[in-house]
Amino acid sequence: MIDKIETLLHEGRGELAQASSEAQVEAARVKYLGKTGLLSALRKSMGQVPAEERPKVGKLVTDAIGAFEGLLEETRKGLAERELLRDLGREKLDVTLPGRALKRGRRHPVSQALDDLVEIFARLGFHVADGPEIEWDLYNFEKLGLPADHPARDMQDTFYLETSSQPKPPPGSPPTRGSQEQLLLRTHTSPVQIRTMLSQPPPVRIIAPGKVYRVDSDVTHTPMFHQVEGLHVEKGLSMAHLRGTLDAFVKAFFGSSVQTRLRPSYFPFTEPSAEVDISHPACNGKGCRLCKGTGWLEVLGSGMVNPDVLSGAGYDPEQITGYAFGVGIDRLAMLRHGADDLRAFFDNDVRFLEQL
Amino acid sequence: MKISVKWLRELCPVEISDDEIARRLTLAGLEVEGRQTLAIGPDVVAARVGSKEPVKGSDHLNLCQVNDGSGTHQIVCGASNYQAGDVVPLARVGAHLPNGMEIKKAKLRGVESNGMLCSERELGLSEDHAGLMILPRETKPGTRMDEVLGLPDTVFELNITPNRPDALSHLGIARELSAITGTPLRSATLKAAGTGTLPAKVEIRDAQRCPRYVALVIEGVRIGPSPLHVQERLRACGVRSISNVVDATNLALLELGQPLHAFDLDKLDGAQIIVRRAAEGESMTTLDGKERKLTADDLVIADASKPVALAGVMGGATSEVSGQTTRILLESAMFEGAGVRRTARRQQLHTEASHRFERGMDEHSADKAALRCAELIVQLAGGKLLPGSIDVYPAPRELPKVIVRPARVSAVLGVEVGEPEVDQRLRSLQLTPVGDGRWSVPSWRGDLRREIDCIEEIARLRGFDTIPVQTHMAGVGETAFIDPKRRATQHGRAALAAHGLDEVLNYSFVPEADLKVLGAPEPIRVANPLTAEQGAMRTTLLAGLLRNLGFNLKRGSHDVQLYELGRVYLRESHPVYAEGHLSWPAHEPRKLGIALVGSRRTKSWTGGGEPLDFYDLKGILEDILETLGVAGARFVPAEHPALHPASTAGLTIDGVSVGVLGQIHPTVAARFELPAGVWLAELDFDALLSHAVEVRPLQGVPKFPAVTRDLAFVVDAGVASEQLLGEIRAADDQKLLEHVSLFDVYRGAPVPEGRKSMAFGLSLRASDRTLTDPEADALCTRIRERLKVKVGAEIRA
Repeated sequence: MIDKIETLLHEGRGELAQASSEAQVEAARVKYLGKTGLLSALRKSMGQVPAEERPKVGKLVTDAIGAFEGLLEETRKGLAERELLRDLGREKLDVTLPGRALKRGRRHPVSQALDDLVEIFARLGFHVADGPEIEWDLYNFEKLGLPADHPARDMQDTFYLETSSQPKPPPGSPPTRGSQEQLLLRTHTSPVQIRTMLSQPPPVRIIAPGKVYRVDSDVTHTPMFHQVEGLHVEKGLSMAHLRGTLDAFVKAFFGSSVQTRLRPSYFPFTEPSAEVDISHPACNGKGCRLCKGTGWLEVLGSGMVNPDVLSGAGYDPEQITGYAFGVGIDRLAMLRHGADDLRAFFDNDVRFLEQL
Repeated sequence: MKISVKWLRELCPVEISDDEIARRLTLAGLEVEGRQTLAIGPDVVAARVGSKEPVKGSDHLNLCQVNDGSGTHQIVCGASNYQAGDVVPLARVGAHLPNGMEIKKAKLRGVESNGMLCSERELGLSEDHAGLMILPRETKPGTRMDEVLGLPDTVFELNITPNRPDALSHLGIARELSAITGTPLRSATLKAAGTGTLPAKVEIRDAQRCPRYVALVIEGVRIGPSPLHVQERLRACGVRSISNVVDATNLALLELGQPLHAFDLDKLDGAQIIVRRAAEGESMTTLDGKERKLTADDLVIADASKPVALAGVMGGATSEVSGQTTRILLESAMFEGAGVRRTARRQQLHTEASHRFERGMDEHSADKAALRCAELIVQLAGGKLLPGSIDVYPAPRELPKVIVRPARVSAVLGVEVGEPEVDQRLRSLQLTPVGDGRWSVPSWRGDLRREIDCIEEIARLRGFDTIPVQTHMAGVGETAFIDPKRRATQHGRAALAAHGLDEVLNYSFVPEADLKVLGAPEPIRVANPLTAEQGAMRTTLLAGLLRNLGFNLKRGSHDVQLYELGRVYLRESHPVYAEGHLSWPAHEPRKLGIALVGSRRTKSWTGGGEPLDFYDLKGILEDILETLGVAGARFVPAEHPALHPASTAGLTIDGVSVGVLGQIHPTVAARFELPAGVWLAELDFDALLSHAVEVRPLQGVPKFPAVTRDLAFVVDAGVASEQLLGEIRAADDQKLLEHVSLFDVYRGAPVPEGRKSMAFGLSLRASDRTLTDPEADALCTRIRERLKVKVGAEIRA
């Protein structure tokens, strides 16, 4: 009996050593440890062993079964390791093949810049206000200190609208020679200043982004473009606040190293009026071809709200003051992306747009 | 406006560089936009032609011996308009001409030439290249051409804003420079005209349009060319030299800003000037030779019988100074700006005079300008100023007085400006204190009417860079809120981008014919479009988007997927602001337009290249609706003139139409030269936003497991999937159906002709217990029964 145990264990070890697959290991398990397995059978034949030897033989059988189970486990582990090694050595993927193509749509550079401006000014406490693009002469010109025949109207060549079945202009509109010039495409976002002040008491702190129109077309001018108007009217505001706001905006948009410079200018609806130059971000203000060697670029117009505009909107200019500004968004987008032809912004060629 | 810096320095003798002058003028609001240096160089001198002999073997070359003061040079010259004894410009060997040419020793036809005799064009003086420039005989040989011409000089191009007509002259800029630098102006005294009766009469019939008219008479002038340095000075300022008398009026204009006009007194009928309105339809010929038809709104200068000048705009041909003129009537007048502007615009005639009158001239100085001009005429053309002047000035204007409070100056500028500084700055601009903080404004500064105007003057003279930088925080409750519509818009845009759509921005004006083809509403028209292509305000975004597709396909792009979010312009009253102070003239709703062409995914090694179809477009829209959280939206069969009748849907929210989507109509495709596979949508974006959910509530996840079942039905091909879904949900009386998805639609054998199979995956769940199989099976049975009865559905085996 004892010999038989050892023989079986020896044979079993030999078979497992030969096994090269999980199936062979399993077959060996069934052969030796299955219900009718060779080692299992030894237990059933314990009856034939003399009683005084039973404890000894029984222990030998149990040890043999335990040893075989250990061998099985070891063999399986060895097989799995070999399997893994084989898999790790298989043919490699061509990792240079492009990934499965996904298409991402792009924002238009102007609309992106516009969103950024709204975001920046929101941080400075400015709400967004809205107004029509088809506007009355009254709000685009008259109430902004540009009556008919004013030479400053030359600064903004206007698109007028054909006016059969024209709606009734608001009270206070000037009589015009012929109804021709009553309705127009706004030449700036400044009419929103008037509309906002007419609709609420101070304080006012708004921006008004949107499309504006001028009869103009060349490399840096398109007949339609985009502006953001800003207006802040409140007790105790001075030109220092105008500078502070513009400086904060310019640094937020172009980076903290960009400087601003105010230069006296003229807009009928602000006084004092200032053109605002920024140090050219592309050349760090050192001067290059784009900024005509000056290091400065004109990016917006601004000023203290003209007292006549305040009183025209029903505010008391002795009590409150304010500042206003108008930013050309398209120009900012051009500067930001280093584009030099504004017209390309409105061709909407996907080869242009998809560079963003 | 062009300013000669040499001239400027004559009037205000500053000792700073040209660069510094430019910088300081710019920072004071008189922007120097450009500059140019005028000089011919040291090696071009006057030379006398001693002899002129033809070169043998040439039909046009001459051999000249010329003397340039230092010696005689042999020059071969091709021009023929000169003779021995003439003085001409000589470019010596080594000279660099303004056009970049360098003069070298040369041999022409074997004859040596040591320099070049020059035409005006070769010296950069004019386009005249007909022959040599002939200098006055008295010019001393050897004199540098720069000296002959009054060079070198620097010319500034200034951008003068419309509020500063006083700065439209050398004197005006000199006054500014003086105020900025403190350098006093060089004053000149004018000799008065004396007293006497002039042989002419002046009558103003419209004193509102012509508040003042000054006339002087100069007799015995000899018309001829002006000296070269005068011609050159005019040229530097962009004015063409005409004759000595006309040049004198232009010099006075450039110096003082006041437009002046010289009439040939002998050509004025009745030796009379009448300032009156033109008769409707009256006509005259202006100096540019154009016949002008006038209206009753035009102001003219007339003699006894006819208009002789368009007041404030341009003189007339009939009274023009000519070679025979000996007696001059000199006009120095003031015309009202708005009237001049109307006439100039009607006649499309923008002149140095109209430019200035439109902005407002200084009527107080009209007499001084006349005297200065007369002085220049006598200087250049001889003759003598008759004693006496005519000065019709019915209502002299008083100089305005303005209060300036130093405290207010400081408050507006945000920096402490003391009384002494206010005083000093205003005086530097020649304002004079008249007591009680009031200041009298000089006559030429019509733009200074209010305190704020003077505050601006103080600010620009001290420099805007002296204003500190300060911020003003928004108070509690004033900070800009997060606008839910703005946020929803951003989410919508993000979704559109995620689906691969590029954003476009199109012009708001489109060709009207495009709108007609698309069946869009009648547009508002632009009265003065740049091109006919931009004649109508868009009433649909599709017009622009279709052109974008065509543009891109023509340039070789294949898969073009675009959206635009923007306004259309409708001839309707605004739904909220229809009338009153805040009324909008038109309705400008915001639309979302989508246009797709090409394949769903760009073809690559992983696949792709499948053409887009209706359900791609619908899927995008469904996702946008989902992103915005719009509830109650339905896609319903619809028709639209721009879309194919077989593949068009309308989108409704709570039964109200908010847009359309579908395939391009074949005739529209043909019109825009596009393929049939173009998919379009246009939605009312404002309406979508008004249904968008502002904040989404969050709930916990389900506690009990779901049971899934698949059901397939065979129904008539015409049954809409939405109907089956509706019936399935209607059968769910216990609200166990959590989710239904349509995972297969099939037509063809073994499904009978005219029928289709549709397979649904159901997910069932009870919120309070684990659902049992028998419960799930019972619901499926109810669904089968209901579909059998309602839509004749059979269960597919």
